[in-house]
Parts: sequence; C-alpha cells; structure tokens
Amino acid sequence: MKLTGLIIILLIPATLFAQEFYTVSGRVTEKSTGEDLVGATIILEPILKGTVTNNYGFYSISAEEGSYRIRVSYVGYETVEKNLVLTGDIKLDIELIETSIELSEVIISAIRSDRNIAEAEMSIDRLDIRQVELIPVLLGEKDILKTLQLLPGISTASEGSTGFNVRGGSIDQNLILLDEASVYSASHLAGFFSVFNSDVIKDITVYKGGIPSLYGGRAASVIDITMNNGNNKQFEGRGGIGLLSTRLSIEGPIINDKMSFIISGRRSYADIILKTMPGDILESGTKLFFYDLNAKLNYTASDRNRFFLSAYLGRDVFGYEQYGMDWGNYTGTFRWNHLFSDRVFSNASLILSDFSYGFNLDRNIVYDSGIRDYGFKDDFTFFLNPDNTLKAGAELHYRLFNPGSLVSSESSEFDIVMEKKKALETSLYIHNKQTINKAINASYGLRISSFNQFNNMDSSRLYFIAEPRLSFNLRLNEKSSLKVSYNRLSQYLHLLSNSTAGQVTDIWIPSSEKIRPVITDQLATGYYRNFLDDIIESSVEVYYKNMNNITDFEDGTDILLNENIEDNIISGKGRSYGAEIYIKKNLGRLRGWLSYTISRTENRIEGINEGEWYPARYDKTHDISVVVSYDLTKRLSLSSAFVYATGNAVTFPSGKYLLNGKVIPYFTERNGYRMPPYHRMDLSLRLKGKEEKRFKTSWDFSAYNVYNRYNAYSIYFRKSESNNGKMEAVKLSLFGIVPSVTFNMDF
Amino acid sequence: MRKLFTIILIISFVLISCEEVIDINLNDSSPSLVAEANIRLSQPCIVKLSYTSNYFDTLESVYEENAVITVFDSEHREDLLTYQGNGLYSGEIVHGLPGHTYTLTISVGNKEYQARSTLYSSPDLVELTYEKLDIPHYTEETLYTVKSVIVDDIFNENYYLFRYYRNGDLLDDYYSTYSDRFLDHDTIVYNDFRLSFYQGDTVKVELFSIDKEVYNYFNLMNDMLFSAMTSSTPFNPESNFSNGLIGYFMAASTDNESIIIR
Repeated sequence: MKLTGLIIILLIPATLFAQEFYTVSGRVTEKSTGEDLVGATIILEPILKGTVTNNYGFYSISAEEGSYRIRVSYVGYETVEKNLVLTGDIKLDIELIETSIELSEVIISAIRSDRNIAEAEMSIDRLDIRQVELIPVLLGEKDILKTLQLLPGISTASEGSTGFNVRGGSIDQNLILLDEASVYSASHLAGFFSVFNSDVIKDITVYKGGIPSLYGGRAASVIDITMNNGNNKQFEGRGGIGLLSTRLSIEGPIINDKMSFIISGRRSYADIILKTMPGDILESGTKLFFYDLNAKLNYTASDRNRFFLSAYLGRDVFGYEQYGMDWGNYTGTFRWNHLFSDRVFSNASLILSDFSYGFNLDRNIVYDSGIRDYGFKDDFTFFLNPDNTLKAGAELHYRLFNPGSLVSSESSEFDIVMEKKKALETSLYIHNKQTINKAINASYGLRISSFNQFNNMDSSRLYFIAEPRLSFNLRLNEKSSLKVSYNRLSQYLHLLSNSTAGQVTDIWIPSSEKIRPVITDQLATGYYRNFLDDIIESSVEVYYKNMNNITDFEDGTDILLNENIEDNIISGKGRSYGAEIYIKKNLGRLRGWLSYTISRTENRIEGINEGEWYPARYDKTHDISVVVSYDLTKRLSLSSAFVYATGNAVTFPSGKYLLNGKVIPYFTERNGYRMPPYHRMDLSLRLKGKEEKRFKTSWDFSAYNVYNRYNAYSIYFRKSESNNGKMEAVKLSLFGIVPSVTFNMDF
Repeated sequence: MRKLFTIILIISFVLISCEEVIDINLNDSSPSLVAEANIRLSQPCIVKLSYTSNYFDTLESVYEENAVITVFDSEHREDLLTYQGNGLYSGEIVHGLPGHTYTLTISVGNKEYQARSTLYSSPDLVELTYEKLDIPHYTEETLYTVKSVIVDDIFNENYYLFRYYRNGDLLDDYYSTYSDRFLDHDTIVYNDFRLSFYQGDTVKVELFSIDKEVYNYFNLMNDMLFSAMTSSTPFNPESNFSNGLIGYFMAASTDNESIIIR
C-alpha cells in the first residue's frame, strides 16, 4: 500500500485547478470525411507544451494568457499551424488533409513525429491501416492480427493463424477490443483469418507493457481497435473481390456534419464457387462460409454531446446434410461523449459481447457453448493544467458462461448440461499523465478490480486485486530518451484449450475457489532514438515478466462436457524475459520496419516435468520480421514481408516400447525438443488504376511463401512401411506457395 | 473473370498441405522397465518384461530375464512365476477367478513394483450388427459402422475394453473403452465412430470386462495416441504399477463375436 500513498502524494499538486490558465480545446478531424483523428499531436509554441487527441479526436490544452502558435500534426497528413491569442478559453476544431504517400520528399518535413520519444508510455505500437493494406497476406485477405504478429514481442501461435502470443503470454491473455467491446474469439475458418475487416477500421493500438490503468482484464496485452465513424460530408463506398471473400462498405452523412453511418459486409464464397464447378467437388447440401457485418452510427448532438452506436456480427457456418457447426461473435457498443467543461471530457459506454459455438450431430442432438458479456464503462478525463492530465473511471462486467451442453430433443436421458456460471467483475481506476520537468514525464495510475461468481457459492470466491501501472520517460536529448515501466495485470477469465493456436471449441470459464486469477508483473525498460529528423525510429526494449496462477491440465483431461474440469486443472508459475529491437521508417517511397525479438518463456507447474521449469510451447528464442514497401511509381508499389522464428518447443518421444505388439512412444521431458526453424517470405504488388474523379481502383497480386518452403506445421511419428518396421518422423506442412489476386475499388 | 478466380483458387488449395518424411535427432533415453501383465479368467498369470529403447532403434527388444515375480489372489494363494524366455514369465497355481483381486509384485535388482487388479465375471456380448455410416467422407465405397450389443449388469459399475479385428488382423491404432457409469440400461449398444469397415469385411470384436484403474490406463493411452491429431501435448499414460513402472497389470474376462458385412 506504500505505492498508493506515493500516488496520492503525486496527485495532490495535480488536483489544484490553476485558474490563471486558459484552455484551447476541440476536435481534430479529417477534412474530406469528417472522421476523428485519434492520436494527432497538438503542440503550443513557443512553450512546447503538447497533447494528443483521444479516441474521439478530442483535445484540450491549457496555457497562461499570451500569444501562441498551435501546431497540429498527424502521420500521413499535412500539418496545420495557426496563431492564437489566449485571453479566454478557445474552442478550435481543426481539419487535416491527407497527403498522398507517393509525394515523398516534400511531405517528410511536415509529417514527422517524435511521439515515440516524447511520451512516457512504452511498449506501444500504433498500426497505420494504410500500411496494413500493403502487407502481403495469405489469400490476399488483409488482416490486422497477422500484421501485429510482425511487431517485436508478438509472435504467431501457429502457421497462418491469427492467434498470437505477447511477451510470453498465452493467446487468451490478449484483450482484443473492437470499439470497447471485448471480442472473445477473433478468428474465422480454423483461425486462418481474423474477424476484423480492415475496410472499417480506423486505428489499432497495441499495448505490450506499461499498460495504462484504463485497461484491464487480461494478463498480457491490449489490442484496442477503433472502427470508422463514417463520412459525414458525402457518400462513399469501398469494396473488393478476392479469392476468399468479397467485401463492400458504404458510408455517408445522414445529417451533414452531424450524423453519419458506415455499414460494411464481407462474405467468403468458396462454397458458391465450388458448387458451380463441374464434377460435384462440393456435394449439394454442403455449407461452408463465413461472414462479417460491421455498422456504426454517430450523432453529434451539440458541441458538448456526441453519441455512437457500433455493432458487429460475424459467423462461420459449416454444414453437411443434417450435420452442422457454426460459431461466431456479436458485439454492440453504445457510447455517449459528454463535455462537462473544456477541461473535463467524459465517455459512458454500454457494451454487449457474445461468443457462441454450436454443432448438431443430426437434427435433434445439439451442442452449444459460449460466453456473454454485459459491460458498462464510465471514463472521465480531467485536463487539469498543462502538465497534468488525469483519467478516472469505473468498469463493470457481468458475464454469463455456458461451459457446454449436449441436448437431445427426442429424449433427455443422454443430455449433459454443464452448470452455467455468472460472474461480476468491477474495476475502478485512476491514472495521471504528468510532465514533471523538461526532461522527465510520467504516466502512473492504479486499477483496483474485484471479481466473484454469484450463482455458485460453494466454488466461488471474492477476489480483490490492486494493479499499479507506472512508466517514466527521461528525455536524454532532442533525439533520444530512456523509459522504464512496471505494471501488474490480472485476469479472471480462463480459456480451456487443448491447442496452442486456439479453436472455436475452446471454453471460457471464470476464476473460482480452485482456479485463481492470473496475475502478471512486468518490468520493462527501453532506449529510443530517432534518426534523420524523426524519419527513422528505433528502439531497444528489455522486459522481465512474472506470471502467477497460469494453468494447464492433468494428462488426458477431456475439455468437452467435463463436469469435474476444475479438478483436472493444475496451476503454477511462468516467467518470460527478452529483448526487442525495432527499427521503423514510416515515410518516403521506401517504408517498413525490422523487428527482432530474443526471448525465453518458461513454466513451472506441479505435476508436469517433475516440477521443473520447462519451455512454454510458444517459446521462441529468435523471432525476426522484416517488412518493406517500396513505391516504384505513383501507381505501383511492391511490398514484402519476411519472417524467421525458432521452432516451437514440442514434446517428442525419446524412447519407445512394445505393448500388445504395438509401438508406444515414451516421453522423458516436457517440450524438450524444437520444431525446425520457421521462415517464409511473402510478396505483393499493388497496381492502382488511373485516378478518376469518383472512382478509384486497384489490383493486389500477392504470393504467400514465395520460395515455397514447406514449413513444419506438426511432426508426427509412424512405423515406416518400406523400412522394416523402423519408426520414422513425418513433417506435415500446410502451405506451399499460395498466389492470390484481389480487386479493390473506392467510389 | 470468374474463370480466372476459379483457376487460382484451385491452385491455391492444391498447394495446401503436404507430408514428408524427415530426419530428426532424438535424444537417447536410458532404458526403463516395461511390464505387460495379464491374468484372464481360468488362466494363469502371464507377464512380459522388456526395456524401452531409443526411439529410432531397430534392434531386437531387450528383455528382463532375472526378475522375481509373484502373484497373490484375495485368498492369499501365492504363485511364483517362472521364466519362459523372450521376456515372458508365467504362473501355474493361481488361476483367474471372478471377484478376486490380484496383487502382482515384480522385483528387479533392488527395485520392487506392485500393482493390483480385480477380475470381474465375463461380459455378455450378445451380437454384432452393422449399419451404413452416414458421415461426410471422400471415398467411393460405402462405410459401415459395427455395433456391439452388450447385456449389462445394471447394479454395478462396469468398465469395458474393445479390440477389433478386420479379416483376422488386429486394428491397433487405438483402444475403445466404455463405462456404464451414466447409464442404467440392461442392454447397451456401443459403436466407435472412429472405426469404419467396408463391404466384405469380417469383423471380430473382442470385449474385455476390466476394472476402473485398467480402464483409466487405456483411456489415457487412447488420449496419448490421439494427441498427435489434436495437437495437445503427449504424455506417458499413468500405470497402475507403483514406483514408476511403465505398462499395466490387467485382470480381465472376455467374450467375442464376429460378423461379415454383406
């Protein structure tokens, strides 16, 4: 509790509202569409005090009476500068114009940013959605989750998968938020494609460490995804036809500058194509597709009140005659932005999120499982004075867990219905961003959460966890800084999974008397340096993470419909440490990044590996990504991505024995072997059509795994048919070279 | 346009997924003792002792030839097993009787391993039937599933192990296990959907009545043999022997039936 005391002391000067300051506040939007720009930088010269716009494009900055020059910049947009005289509070909305990427040299000076070295937060990445679009991917489906995996500290759970591990955390430790709603299963088609349609996504921010206390609930990372609001000036459409899916989105104003919408859909159509082909490749009655629908409506009621309604619905459907399987998520968020004053911004959100999975064996035997989450968040931002921005708020989640039920409509005798669970998670947080002096700024806060199940008193337990979050930035000079952060994160949800990559059959369960919440503590430090007038950013970060109450199963545990599952769960500790090097060039004709991670992740669980430390399945010593895009001409750009990673840790047999005449493998240590190293290069070429006034087209040609390396997806052992009963190892590979073509249009 | 997409789509899927035999280095493992011990109704106890070998070794099995093995029944009758060669030891005096619990002790050097197993009365496999298997598959031939009809004792928990033979050959990819813990029917119809047969196959089902520990062992063995498919971590099934001995001691009674799929 010493820490809390320290924070309170630090907060005292901040709470004194200094009256000699005046405030400039407003929204930063994109000129052509009216979209809020998230994370635009606002700087007051000559005092060089700055701030950034929040998730709704709002900013507020205070200064003493006087004359200033305000500079508003955002990567990829022309910087706007204005003179202002502060003699009272000013409301100033600013519109920025997008610069075309092709015009390299001229723009460079205008759009550089030194945010990475100026801010206290570390281990954060903001993905530029325009960069995501250029990166080559499997079957041409642009995918933000796969792009994330190319960043340092984030590794792919398995080939082609959207599942990922952040700094030694398991895949269920990532909080994936779509307009504040947690998405519980973010993949389609056995994990190969994510549920996020990049046409409707505005901003993606990834927190790997130093996570602000605003966020909580998962133990490794936060992926905060914001959907577009919809153009409030004119109607606009966008679409694409690819090998796997077709997508279309339409946006436009309902009331000019006041109310707009965006609606977007995507559907895969392998089933439709296969059905129309000669020679029944797909028998009639077969269903095999997924779809996503995104919609958002926003209404600016007044200068002080804005409303947003976002919705997402996506499902995978697989069926053959009377057998069927389907799964998916739906989420909905209603938000109300309210300005109490120029210096007090608030947002209240009502959130719904649901994931369900089901199959039917024939028409009358039905299985289903899932989770539903009703959430409420209330967040206040106090722009106290030029040096302090304080956030405080509350978050509440009421969750319903359906761990699975198998029900027959004919007779109830075989029915297995697992007890549904209900749980409440409540959190309160406070967080301050403070400029201590010219060289040091800090971001610190505390989140307190509580959790309990309340329909099952025997197995329930009330938990309270206090999570301090601190990061400090020491600015060494114009070009470099040093940062340190510590954070504690807790997680009251546990994903029961037999695989590393995540499957739709995985089941979420709440913490209980037996299964204690996961708690991770992470300490990280980093050195940041920019080169060539901030065109090239580089960083080196090292981290150490300690994980408590991570879980595994006793050998041979059935996950499906196991009423005693809690007795089969064993828990222990984990630790992860590593270093990450990141060099990035955001601007110019040649853009891209290089990331290298060296790390180690180990677990120690009583009952596994004789209680000794062993490498986690997803422990990868080396993980390298190189992403390069080059604009050959104004209309033609070439991109490539190369990845190299140490193979996953696996358990292979070290011995064998015969039992009933059959060869049985004998295992000596957990995860004591390595899969072969994984490497792959993808290429893509984007050809833009001639620009016409209201119609833009482009073609994407891409090849996944261009040098056709058969990377090991899994290795299994069998008796050789040719070689006299000798055992042999067989490597299973999923993808050789996979070419694809996508046609995109904007109208 | 659609033609182009179709062609590329086909190419994409053809190139997906491939298998290849590779060389891989596995660590040597020190030899550990493995026991395969059985006592069947009205028969003496038979034990086979061998050692684990390195995974890729093709050498003959190494047997333990100097073990001292004894078996007791519930009435303390004792039998000292004698070595027959090839790792096999057999008893003479104690024969399997329903309701008896057998205690097997194996001494090798200064190490002693012990297991207990209870013998239940013969299961009653009444008949086999078959029917068309109506699941998605990509062969021309019709698949059949074979159902075993068992008369079950509803007053006690029963544990069953099934072994299948196709045209005389044992299908040893995995084991089928079944327990009546959740049912109180006097007739059980059991089929394992993982196994399918073709027209003309002669199918033999061998049914064992076993105790709970042996049932658990074969269940774990099943999970382990299947783990390569589910990508979960493989493990050594926990034996009913003490002291870390690999293998099992199974007291069992059996019944069998055959059927030809026409």
